[in-house]
Amino acid sequence: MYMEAKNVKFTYMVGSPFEKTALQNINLTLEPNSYTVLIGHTGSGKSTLIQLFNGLLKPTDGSIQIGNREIKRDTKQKHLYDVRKDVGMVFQYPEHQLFHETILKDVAFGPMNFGMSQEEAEKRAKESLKLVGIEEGLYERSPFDLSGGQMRRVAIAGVLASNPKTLILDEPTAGLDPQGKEDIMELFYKWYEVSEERSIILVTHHMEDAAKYGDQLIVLEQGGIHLTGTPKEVFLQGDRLRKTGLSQPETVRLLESLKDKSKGHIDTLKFHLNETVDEIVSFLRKDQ
Amino acid sequence: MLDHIIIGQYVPGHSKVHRLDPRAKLICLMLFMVFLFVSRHPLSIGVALLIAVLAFGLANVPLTFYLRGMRFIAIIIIFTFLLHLFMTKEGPVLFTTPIVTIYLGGVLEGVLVGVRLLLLVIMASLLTLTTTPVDLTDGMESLMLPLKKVGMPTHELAFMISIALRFIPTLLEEAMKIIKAQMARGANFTQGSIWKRVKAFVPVLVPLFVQSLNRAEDLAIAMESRGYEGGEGRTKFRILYWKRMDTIALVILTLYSMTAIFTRFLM
Amino acid sequence: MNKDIVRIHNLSFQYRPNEPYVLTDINLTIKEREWITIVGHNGSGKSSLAKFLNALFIPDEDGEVYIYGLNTKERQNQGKVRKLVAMVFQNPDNQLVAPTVEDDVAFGLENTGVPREEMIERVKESIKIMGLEGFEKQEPHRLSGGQKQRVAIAGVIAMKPKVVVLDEATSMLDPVGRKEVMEYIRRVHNDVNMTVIMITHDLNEALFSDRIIVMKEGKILKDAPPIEVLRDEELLKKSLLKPTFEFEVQSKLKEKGINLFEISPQITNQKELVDALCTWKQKM
Repeated sequence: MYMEAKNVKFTYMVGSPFEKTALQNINLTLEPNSYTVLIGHTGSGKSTLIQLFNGLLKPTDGSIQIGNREIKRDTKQKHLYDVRKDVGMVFQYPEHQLFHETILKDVAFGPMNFGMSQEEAEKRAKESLKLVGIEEGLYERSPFDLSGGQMRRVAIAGVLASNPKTLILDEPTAGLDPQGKEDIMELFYKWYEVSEERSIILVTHHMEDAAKYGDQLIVLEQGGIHLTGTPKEVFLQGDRLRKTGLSQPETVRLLESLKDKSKGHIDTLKFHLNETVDEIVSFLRKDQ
Repeated sequence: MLDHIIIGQYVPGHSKVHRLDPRAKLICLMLFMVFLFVSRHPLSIGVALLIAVLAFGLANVPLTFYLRGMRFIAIIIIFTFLLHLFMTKEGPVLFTTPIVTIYLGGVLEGVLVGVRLLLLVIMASLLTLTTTPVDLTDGMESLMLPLKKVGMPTHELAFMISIALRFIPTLLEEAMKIIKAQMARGANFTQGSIWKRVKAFVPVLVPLFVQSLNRAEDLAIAMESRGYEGGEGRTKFRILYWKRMDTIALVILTLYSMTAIFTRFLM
Repeated sequence: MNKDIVRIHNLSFQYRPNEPYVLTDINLTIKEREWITIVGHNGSGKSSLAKFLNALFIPDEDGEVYIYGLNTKERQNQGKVRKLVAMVFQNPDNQLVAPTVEDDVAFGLENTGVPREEMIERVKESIKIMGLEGFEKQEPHRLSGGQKQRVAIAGVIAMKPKVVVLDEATSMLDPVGRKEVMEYIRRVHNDVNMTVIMITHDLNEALFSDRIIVMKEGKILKDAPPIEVLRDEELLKKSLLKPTFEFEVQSKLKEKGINLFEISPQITNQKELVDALCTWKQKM
C-alpha cells in the first residue's frame, strides 16, 4: 500500500510545560510492496513515526497518506480506526497483549473487531496460527500456558489474522535467542512475499537485518531524517552513520577494514555471509 | 482532565517550604486541618488565612500552575457555598423570593464553609507540591513509629507505599503500551454504550494484571537475593533532619491552634 | 592457583515431581576470580542453574551445591551464601526497588544492617565504579535500559559480594545498552576483582571469559575456553547457538580451503581476523 508523510511534525503534550517535539520536517514515500527499515537510537523518533503510520497518533502538522486516506491533525477518530484495518502493528514484546482465555479466541480478537463474523475470524485465526507454526492441539489452550517464544508467535498471529496490507514491526525479535530471532524474521519475510499487496516497515537495531531484508532504509536522528536510500547507498556512508553512533553491518565493517589494511580491490558492500566470504576468497586468490 | 488535578504532583524547588522536614509539614497540616474546623471566629479564620498566604508565598510555586489546578476544586467550593446559603435558616431575613428565602446566617455559614474548604485544599496541595513522594513516605513512617508498639506494621506499610510510588510510572507506561497494542488490533475504547466501553478494557486489564503478577514475582526474588527480610535489623540510608525552621513552623501552628480553641470555647 | 569457590556435585532438578528434569547430573567447579559464561538456548536450564548459586534454589535429595565450602542445603548457610553471591536479573524494570538511584544502591546495605556512615561511603563508591555520578537522585523510570542495569549492578557490588551472577542481564537491552553494560562488567571483574558468572545466549558476550559452559536440555555439553567452544561447529549446531561472525567467516573460509588456523590459532575479533587474512595474502 502506498504511504506518504508530507511535512510531518509531531509534538507531545502541546501547550503544557512538558511540550516536546518528537518529529519535524518528515517527508517520506513508501511504495506499495516495499520493505522499509527504520534505524535510529532510542529517542530518535522511530516509535512516534510508526504510530503515525497506523493511526495511533495524528500529526501536529503536515499530513500522512495511507493508501487513499489522509490523516491530518483534525482527522476524526473513526477514520483512524479504518486505517488500522489496513496497517497491522507488532509492538515490542507483543506477547504482553495476550488476554483471552484461549489462543484461538485471542488471535480472532483483531479480525472480529474489524467486523468479521466469528466463523470467518476463526478461520483467519487458524490460518495465521498455522503460518506462525503453532500446532492445532494448542488452539483451545490458554495463551499463558505457552513458553515465551510461543507466546510471541501467537501474538504475531493475532496481528496477521486481520490481514493487513502493511505490517509495522517494532523490534519484533527483542529478547529472543539467536535461532528464535532468525526464525521470526524469516516468517515475516515469507508473509511479505506471498502477495504483491503486502509491505513491511521494520524498526530494528540490527544493521545485519536492515541490510538483509530492507529495500529502503531510513535513518532517523533527533526527530529528523538523517539518511535514506537503499541499503547499499546508506551503508556506503560509514562515517555519516558513525557520527550518529550507529554502525554498518559486520560484513561491511570486516571488508572495509580488510580493504583499508591491504589496500586491495574489494567490494565492501556485501550483506550476506556467503557473499562476504566469496569476496574474501577472490581477494586472497587474486594476483597482486 | 487528569492534568487539572494538582494534589499529588510535585514541583521541584528549594524554597523554605520545600526544605521543611516532611514530619514538620505533616504535623502542621494535621493541626491546620483539625483546627480549621474548630475555627468560627473571624480572628482565628484570619490567622488561618494569614498562615496560608505565608506558606504559599514562601513555597514559590508558580501561581498559574496553581490556578489551573484549582478550576475543578472551585466548582466544588461554589457548590458547597450555595448549598449552605440556601439551606441555613438562621438570623434576620435578607430578602425573599418566591422560591427561596436568604437569611444572613446562610451567607455567613456559606462563606465560612467556602473559606475553610479553600484553605484546606490550598494547604493540602501545598504539601504534595513541595514534598517528594519519598520524603512523604519517610515522614509518615517516622510519625507512625509509636504505633509499632501496638503491633502496627509501620515499616511494611511505608515500604509498600514506597514500592507503589516506584512502580506507578512503570505501570502507567505499560498500560499505555497495551492500550495502543489493542487499539492497533481494532479495539475501540471511545465508542458505544457505557457497558461496551467498560468491556473494551478487559483486553487491557487482563494483560496488565498478568504482567504485574510477573513483575511482583521477579521483584520478590530480586529483593530476597538482596537480603531483604523485613524491617527487623535494618539500618536506614535516608534520615530526616529536624531544623530550626521546622520548630518555628510548628510553633506558628500551635499558636494558631490555641487561637482557634480560645476564640471558640473561651470567648 | 586460585581456590575453588563453587562446587556442584551431581545436581539434578525438576520444578515439580513428574515434570521433566530441568537440570540433570550437573558437576561444576568454579575458581576464585574466574569469569565464567554459561550459554545455552532458551530452556537449556542455564537460568535455573544460576539460581542454585545463591541459594534461591536449594537442591533436594539429588546433589549438592557448595559456595565457599558452605553447603546451601543447610539453612543457616543460606544467608551467608547470598552475601557471597549476588545476582543481577534480566528485566531492568523488575529489580529496582527504591524510588531513586542512590536509595536503590543502598537497599541491600539497609537490609543487612550496615551502619549509616559506612553505607554512605559504599553507595558513593559503587555509584562511582558504575559511572553513575550525577544520577543519584534520578528516578529509575527515567533511565535507559543500560543505565538501569548499571544501577542494579551498583546495588549488588555495594554489598561487596565475592561473586556476581548475571542472569541474562543484557538480553533485554539494545546494542548500545549491551555494550555499555559489558564494559562495566569487565570493570567489575578486572578492577574490583570479583568472580563473574554470566548467563547469556550471545556468544559475542562470552569471548572475554575464561571458560564457556555450554548447556542443553539441562546437561553440560562442554566446559572449555572460548576458542575451543567457538571452533566446535558440531557442538554449536547441536546446542542451537549462533557462532560469532568472525568464527562463521573462518569456518566458511576453511570449507573453501583457506585454513586461517595455520596462521593464527587465536582469532576472536575483527582486527585479528583482518591481520590473519593479510598475512595469508602475503604468503601466497
